[in-house]
Amino acid sequence: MHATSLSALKQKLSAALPPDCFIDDAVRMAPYECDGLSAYKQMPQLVVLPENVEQVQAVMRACQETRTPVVPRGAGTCLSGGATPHPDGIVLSVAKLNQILHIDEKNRTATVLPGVRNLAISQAVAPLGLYYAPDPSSQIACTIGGNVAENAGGVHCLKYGLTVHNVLQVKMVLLSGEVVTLGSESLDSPGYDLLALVMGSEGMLGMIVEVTVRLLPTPPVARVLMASFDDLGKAGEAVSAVIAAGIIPAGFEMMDKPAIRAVEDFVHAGYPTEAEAILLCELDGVEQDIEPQLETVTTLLKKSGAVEVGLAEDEAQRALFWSGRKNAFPAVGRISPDYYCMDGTIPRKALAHVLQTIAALSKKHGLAVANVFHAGDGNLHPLILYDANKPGELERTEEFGGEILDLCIAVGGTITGEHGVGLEKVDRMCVQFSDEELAQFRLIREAFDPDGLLNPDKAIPTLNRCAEFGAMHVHHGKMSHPDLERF
Amino acid sequence: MASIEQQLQQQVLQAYHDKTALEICAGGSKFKPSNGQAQRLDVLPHSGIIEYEPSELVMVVRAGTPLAEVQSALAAQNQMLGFDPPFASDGATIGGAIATGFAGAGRPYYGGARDFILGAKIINGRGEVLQFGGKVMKNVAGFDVFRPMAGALGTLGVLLEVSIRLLPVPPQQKWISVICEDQAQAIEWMNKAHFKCTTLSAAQWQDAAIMMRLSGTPQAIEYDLKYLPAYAELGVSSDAALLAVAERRADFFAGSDCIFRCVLPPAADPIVLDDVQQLMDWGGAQRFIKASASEQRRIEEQVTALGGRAMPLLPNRLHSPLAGTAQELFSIQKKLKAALDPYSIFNAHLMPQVS
Ligand SMILES: Cc1cc2nc3c(=O)[nH]c(=O)nc-3n(C[C@H](O)[C@H](O)[C@H](O)COP(=O)(O)OP(=O)(O)OC[C@H]3O[C@@H](n4cnc5c(N)ncnc54)[C@H](O)[C@@H]3O)c2cc1C
Repeated sequence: MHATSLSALKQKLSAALPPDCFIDDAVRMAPYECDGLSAYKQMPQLVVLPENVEQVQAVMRACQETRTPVVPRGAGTCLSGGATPHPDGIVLSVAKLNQILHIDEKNRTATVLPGVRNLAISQAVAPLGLYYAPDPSSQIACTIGGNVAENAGGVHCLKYGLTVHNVLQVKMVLLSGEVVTLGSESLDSPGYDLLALVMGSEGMLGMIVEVTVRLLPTPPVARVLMASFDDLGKAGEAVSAVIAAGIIPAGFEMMDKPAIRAVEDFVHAGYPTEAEAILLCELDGVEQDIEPQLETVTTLLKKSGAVEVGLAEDEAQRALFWSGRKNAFPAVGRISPDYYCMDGTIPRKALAHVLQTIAALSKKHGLAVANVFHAGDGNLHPLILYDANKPGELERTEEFGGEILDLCIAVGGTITGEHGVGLEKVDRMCVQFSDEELAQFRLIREAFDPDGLLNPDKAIPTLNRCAEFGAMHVHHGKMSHPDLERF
Repeated sequence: MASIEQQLQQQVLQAYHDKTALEICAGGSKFKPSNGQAQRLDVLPHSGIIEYEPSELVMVVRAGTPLAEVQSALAAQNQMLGFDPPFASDGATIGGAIATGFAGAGRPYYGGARDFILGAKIINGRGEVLQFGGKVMKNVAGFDVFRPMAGALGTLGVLLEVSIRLLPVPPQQKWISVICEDQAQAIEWMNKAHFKCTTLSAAQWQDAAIMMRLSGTPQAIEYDLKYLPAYAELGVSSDAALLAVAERRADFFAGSDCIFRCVLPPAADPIVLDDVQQLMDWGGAQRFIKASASEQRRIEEQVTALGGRAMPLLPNRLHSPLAGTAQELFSIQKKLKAALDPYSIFNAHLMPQVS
């Protein structure tokens, strides 16, 4: 960025925001140089922390006038580099926008500022017997604004839906400084469903400054079953068997042997370390309803070849079973100098095939992999173990990861189930989408941000970028961009 | 020979090239073809279920497929569409159901068309065939362009194929009636039931009675019944009555009076008007008022103050999901339209209007 335009920007901003809303020294900016995907690091020009919506508007206007890139930032837990700063731009943080504005008990909604943490909403409404359903594993840290921007899911989204299903209204500041209200507190709003379009838009359409979420009554009882299998394929079939029987568990998670062992060493959750796979299946509702369903599920799991099925005896054991799953990432972090968390979704029926292929790829690349898996909705998280200090290992890991994503596409799935495209998967977008589809994304983005200043270079690749990548890749059996010169 | 998809694409390409209007037609169950100048683009022949694997809880289906065909294929596997789309018996298609986004009585409890759509193949206004989303539950690659297709009345593109998330048919259903003269009381009870009863799947109030449907396992229904005020169990299904409201065939909609549809937060206070008939659906979140057209201002004022929105129904007793856009959103809506359909060739007569 030119020093002159930076100082022009700073001048405009200091007229609108108090001095403690800026960070511009390298030491204090360091925590902002990456998000949860720390392989990508970049210092921004400036970090801005507005205290209210008017200040956000002023910042956006100033950035548009000075043509400064803006990277919105929640808690920075994004795993795809979506919140990685732009070298010429500012980071626009929601850290000071963290109040719960209003809880409407009768209508079962809460209106909050974007920096409120996911779990803080459920905690605030717990005394009313309510909670906010989407529960990403990062929920103690991640913000509701970041959840909207990523359409975050969680362990319970099989039954209760993703962010898109649980948010009624969003207020967003456009780059022009204008505030728009998308959705409403009613069940439909006139015109196009822009609210749905903003879900998962990765900070490219506007800065989210207020979110109204739908709250659900806390189920009186939740019980979790753990089933162990001597074969991954059987575990996959068991998942389909339960769902085909018309039962939608509140959570349905799977882990393979390497993940089980890493977790067991770390949290001693009581997982069977000899099993090839375990399934955790949670049912919630009222006691009278759950008891017979637990029996049905147990029978189905056993029929599908479960070696053992155990029910968490009490709330403490239930928490323990889940703590294993929720600590899977850090557990893997303990056994390997580095790990790379992948995120793709596949049709459930392809599970056995995909896991076998991943095992073969793991051999080919000489890199171990541990699989944790939101089995109920087909969202897989292979964790590739590597050592960044060994030359070439990160590159091999990325290649391995890329092949997993190609595999997800090949079986009819997608390159990201919940972590977003960000910087990380921007090349893979050229595999999943055609030139026309990518061009359509760009046109839609321009409808909101004609200058392309909001989170540039993320999520939607340019045609040239795809051409570069396409030199190595073939899309749907066709060479992509035959019209462009190869290099 | 060109496939139907290719023929449709050809027709759109031609219209794009000539900058001429197209009117997308399918089952004709909701909006009859206008008598305008636009050439018709008939999606009805583009029919058939492409993929249906019950254990995946997903169906991929061509847009022209009759809703009735979809529903019977699902019923055979004990599954259902979650958003209760109306007009199956009038020849509605799945594409039309998504494009209008009309939802039945289960809307507050299960979700709407936008909640169940997982992906779509469309033809945009440049004649390009594009695929967005997919057939898996979780997918955050690229913008969810398929989702705003729900309720866009075809003005953002021609739906060719949609993939839809399905629900298992609940093991049991019960219909009950609670006598309740007082509208405020009815609102309170319906909302309490939504909070307390996980099996509640419909709640309607008219003629001094609340009708509720409970759907779930017998045990769960039994449990929920304990929380309800004095009720009578209706021996037979009331689904036909619920559908009659969604299809506006219920007696309430008969006659020539003006009917206002109001959508509000479900627990909003009653709309107070003398001597008018009211019907509440969606547990209080959708209310119909039968009143003379001159009451429009008063109704709008009250409903707006309650945090909702009121609109007079069209002569066919339906409403346009696009009508009444807020001024502040109009410019983005127009830009979104232009991004997908630069020459406004699709369904110009159904375009969004400002309130
Ligand atoms: C250990 C761990 C576990 C995780 N588990 C899950 C999981 O189970 N499910 C899941 O879905 N995700 C998961 N994630 C990913 C991540 O937590 C989610 O994507 C989360 O929604 C990001 O929220 P955040 O506040 O940290 O946003 P950030 O990381 O700060 O930002 C994410 C993206 O949103 C944009 N953004 C942030 N705030 C705004 C705003 N106010 N307006 C506009 N754009 C904005 C940013 O520009 C960026 O593109 C996990 C991450 C970690 C580290």
